[in-house]
Amino acid sequence: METSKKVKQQKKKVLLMGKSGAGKSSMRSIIFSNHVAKDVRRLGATIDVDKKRVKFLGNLLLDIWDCGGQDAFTESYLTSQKSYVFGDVGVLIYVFDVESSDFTDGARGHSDRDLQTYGSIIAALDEYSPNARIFTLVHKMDLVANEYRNEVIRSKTAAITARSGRFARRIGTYATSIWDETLYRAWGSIVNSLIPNLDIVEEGLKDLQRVTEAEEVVLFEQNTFLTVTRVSSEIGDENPRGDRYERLSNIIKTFKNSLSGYTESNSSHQFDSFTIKTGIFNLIINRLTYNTYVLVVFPPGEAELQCARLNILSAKDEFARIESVAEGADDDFRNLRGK
Amino acid sequence: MIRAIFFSIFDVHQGPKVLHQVPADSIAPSTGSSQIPLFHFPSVSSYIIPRPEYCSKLITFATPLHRVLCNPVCLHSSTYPRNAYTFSIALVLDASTPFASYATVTLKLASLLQTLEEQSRFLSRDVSPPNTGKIYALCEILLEDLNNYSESMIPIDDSNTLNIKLFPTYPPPPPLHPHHVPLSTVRLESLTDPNWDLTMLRVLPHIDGVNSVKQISLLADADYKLVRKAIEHLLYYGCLLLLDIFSFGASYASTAELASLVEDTDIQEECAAYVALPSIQGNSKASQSDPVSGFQLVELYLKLRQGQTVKSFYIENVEVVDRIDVRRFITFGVIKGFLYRVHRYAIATSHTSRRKREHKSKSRQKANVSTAAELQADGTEAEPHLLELEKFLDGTHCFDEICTELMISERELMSRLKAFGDVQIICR
Amino acid sequence: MDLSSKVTSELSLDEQQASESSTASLAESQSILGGTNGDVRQSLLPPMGFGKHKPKMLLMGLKRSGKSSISNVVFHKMAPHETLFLEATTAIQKQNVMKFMDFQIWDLPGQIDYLSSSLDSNSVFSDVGGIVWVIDAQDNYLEPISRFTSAVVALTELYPSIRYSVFIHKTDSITEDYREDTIRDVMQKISDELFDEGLENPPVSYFPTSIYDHTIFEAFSKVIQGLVPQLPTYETLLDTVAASCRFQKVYIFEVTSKVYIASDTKPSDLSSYELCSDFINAIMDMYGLYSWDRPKTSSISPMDDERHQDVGAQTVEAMVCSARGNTVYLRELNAFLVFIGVSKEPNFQKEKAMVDYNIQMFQNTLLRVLDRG
Repeated sequence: METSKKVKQQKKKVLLMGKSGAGKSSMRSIIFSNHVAKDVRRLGATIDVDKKRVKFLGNLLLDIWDCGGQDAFTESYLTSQKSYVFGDVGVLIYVFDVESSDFTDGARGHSDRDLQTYGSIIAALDEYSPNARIFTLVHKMDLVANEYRNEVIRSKTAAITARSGRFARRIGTYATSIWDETLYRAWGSIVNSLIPNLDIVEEGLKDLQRVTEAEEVVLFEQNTFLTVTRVSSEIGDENPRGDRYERLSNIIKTFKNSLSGYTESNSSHQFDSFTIKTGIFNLIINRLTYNTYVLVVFPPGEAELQCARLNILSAKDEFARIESVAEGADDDFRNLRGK
Repeated sequence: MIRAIFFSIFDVHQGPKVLHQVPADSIAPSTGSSQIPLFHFPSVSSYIIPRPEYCSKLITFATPLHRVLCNPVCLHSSTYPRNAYTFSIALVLDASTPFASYATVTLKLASLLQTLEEQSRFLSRDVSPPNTGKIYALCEILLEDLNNYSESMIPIDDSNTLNIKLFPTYPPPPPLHPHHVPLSTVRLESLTDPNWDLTMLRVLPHIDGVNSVKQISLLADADYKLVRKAIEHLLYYGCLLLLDIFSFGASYASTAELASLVEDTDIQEECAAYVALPSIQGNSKASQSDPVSGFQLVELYLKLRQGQTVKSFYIENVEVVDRIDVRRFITFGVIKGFLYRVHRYAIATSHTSRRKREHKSKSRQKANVSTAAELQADGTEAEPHLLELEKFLDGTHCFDEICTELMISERELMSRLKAFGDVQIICR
Repeated sequence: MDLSSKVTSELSLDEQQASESSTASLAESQSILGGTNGDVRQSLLPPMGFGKHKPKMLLMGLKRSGKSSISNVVFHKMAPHETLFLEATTAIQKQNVMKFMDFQIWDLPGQIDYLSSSLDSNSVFSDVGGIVWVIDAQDNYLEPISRFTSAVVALTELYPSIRYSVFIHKTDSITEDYREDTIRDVMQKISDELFDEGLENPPVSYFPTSIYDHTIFEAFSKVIQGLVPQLPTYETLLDTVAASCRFQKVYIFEVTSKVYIASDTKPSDLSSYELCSDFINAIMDMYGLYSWDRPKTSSISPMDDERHQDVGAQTVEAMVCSARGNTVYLRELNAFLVFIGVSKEPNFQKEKAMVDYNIQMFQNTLLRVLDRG
């Protein structure tokens, strides 16, 4: 029994930083507050630090500190509030505005102020929370013409890495835009890196995949629809759409918002099941536990559809147990599975 | 005394920022300036430019030496960068200064600037560099005017003028009763102009230190409630003193304060001048020479005591008192605190009153043989008068008040009290 | 886990129940649909063959009024915010947008003087079914209004059958206080001007629109419905389906444009339209993710024979159920059209077999109507 795996409620402090207007609050409200992309232009600037607690999968609490990026605020984070802001950080997410004139490599008389700030923040983090994970998002990629995107990402990534000090080898850099699914990919991997006991959940998903003969089973968090984890069969692995998980997050989230607008219910339980039956495949998205939805893609046919539906129904109980176990004493569960 | 006025905004790139400040470098010194600011702006900026939830509210906070008053305003509109314009005009006072009157100034300033901004983008359009431009000029004039004249009038554009005055705040005036007699302490006629409140204009001529509030309302032919409001206003600003109704039947007694009159010859002279009779017969001998000495005045005051009416006092000391105005003499004593009015209160023992009424009704039953006229006389005269009177007989209403309320003389009151039955009279 | 064995046994039972309940409803629904079929025969024959006589729809308006943006958003799935980068249209653009019928949208560039003699007006305006005139509501609209009225006056004489739809466009950028006033003002001015020209009841209808919400789709739906000759038939059919399956609201959607060509005759409500259109979006997007060519070899299993017996196995069918008992049901009718129903029936899933059957009947009838057209 590894006692290190014993998990109760986990609390992680997530710092969301970056220059003013980089899009921190926008992305936060899209992922966690069910805003749609076109609505975020109505948001105002964040004053000082906006703290928000998000429950993710029941046993993971994210304390998101959305830090206003105005110079005066950044100055105070790095001086008078230094230990308060940078102490006990689980994750730092630094958002760069790809179009900002301050986000260049400093050569040819251009300003590299954004990178300088990033450097100071990394230094502060190194001092107070050396074990924090760092994710950097190169945001507003939609403003860069398609043909230049790869080149831009490459050069920006290099510039960021150069300033990341001791964290250089551990940072994840993502190009994002609120207008497409790249945002979900970035946040999916951020959140993924924080989820404890992922292996147990994966085991459960594999069981479900086997009995439903599914080509793919994906587990989503119920509020954000970020991908928690997924299992694919050999066929499923051949699906040419590599970006399908974040696309799914985006599609389902959009539809969920539309549905909640229609039913005018703000509860998180917006839909129970979503079924698509075609001549090529069957797809079911079903509520699995209080915190999760599962998506199952399997071969076509009415009979298969009904089987899968019932299988998912019986899987619900098992996953509810996994979840409660993960929240409580998980050693007991391991014993149980061992029998 | 205002130490500084500064105007700050939320800059979408730089955050909270002091745009204009008077005096220069007092809040956020420019680089290179050696001046020490009044306080460290970054540490308090979250109170000056707070989150939108705290905007449109008066915010005051104290630093060790100073107090800052501001009323941040956050205007939401998609025309502003980041959909909002947040500004705050702040006054810096010494920490010990009472700030109540500055609070209203701050609120008024903020609402004026908000209106200007909403009308014509007055603030957001003003892109003049720090410490220049219209807003700076506004701050500068305000600081000067408020400190030197306690008021300021600044024309801003064709349709807007800033009118600001530091109004001292006084404690609420004492409750005003109908039997109070107002006496003006300033020349009210010299202050008025035809634009004053109508009731006020009608009331003023009757304020002479003799008429009670009730009388004034009758003389001015104005509603009592309005008269009362008008007099309360004058009272609030200290233009009036409240006296009691002067009558020769009243009694006064001296207080310990009288000792100051004994020692202070200035007050004695003031008193002598005040109580001196106006010369009726031109240059009479009496008015030329000082008729009463300070010593005599003190003596007279000392002779007033409980249980003795002004009338008997007058009779006893007629040769001296005749040379002065008795009413002014008493009034002076009351104003200066040498004298206090000994009020009389009536209290009815509850048994008596009830028995009396029972007796009354019985007697009426017995008297049902009497004529209708008699019955009516009994009902309209005796009975309502006594019932009316009864509510004043709990020991909390002085004779002045009862007389004024019922509009009867003191003599009439005494006779009614006798008719009422067992009534105790308390003097204090 | 031995879930699969348990499930198959339960399933057979389920199917039995389903077939029982569907036979019960069979007689009823058939008779209703049969009845309408009779009407169809009489009323449906248009004066001219629809196929030969391609009715045109013209999208007109002054330059920069938003015509290209509209046609790109509605018919080419362009995201509204991307239309900012569109360049001005300089030549007439013909687009065959509706695949199920021969509809054309002629995106006329704003700079051309439509009524000048240099343009061969007969080639443009003959067999035009409807004209959509776009007026930019956030701009000065007096000029476009007078241009529109003079066009109506000139065209009504020559082509009296043309119907006009005025899109009072870019309403999203007007603050709410003024929006209603602006819309009313435009309508008033147009009808006043037309009245002055002697047109008392001009065939003009008005739609406030914006590409940033669903109003533009709703407006196009209404315009196109006005050009569909079989509309009354479709509506009768849909009313019947809605009643027999207890749907709140039912639509026939054109998939690519998400314009609905018919709905039941209950008052239209924008919110269920939005839901349906978003539902189609979600399904199309997910279909795109999983409809890749799978290797055939691995999927041969004993289940295959059974599958081919499945009625309508090849048609797309989708359903979403919310926790509050709302259900949205979608079924593919042909390559371009889908049926969507919104139901608030809590027991919808239990009655689904019956619904499936009724929709199947509806589909057969509808396809026959389409063929005739």
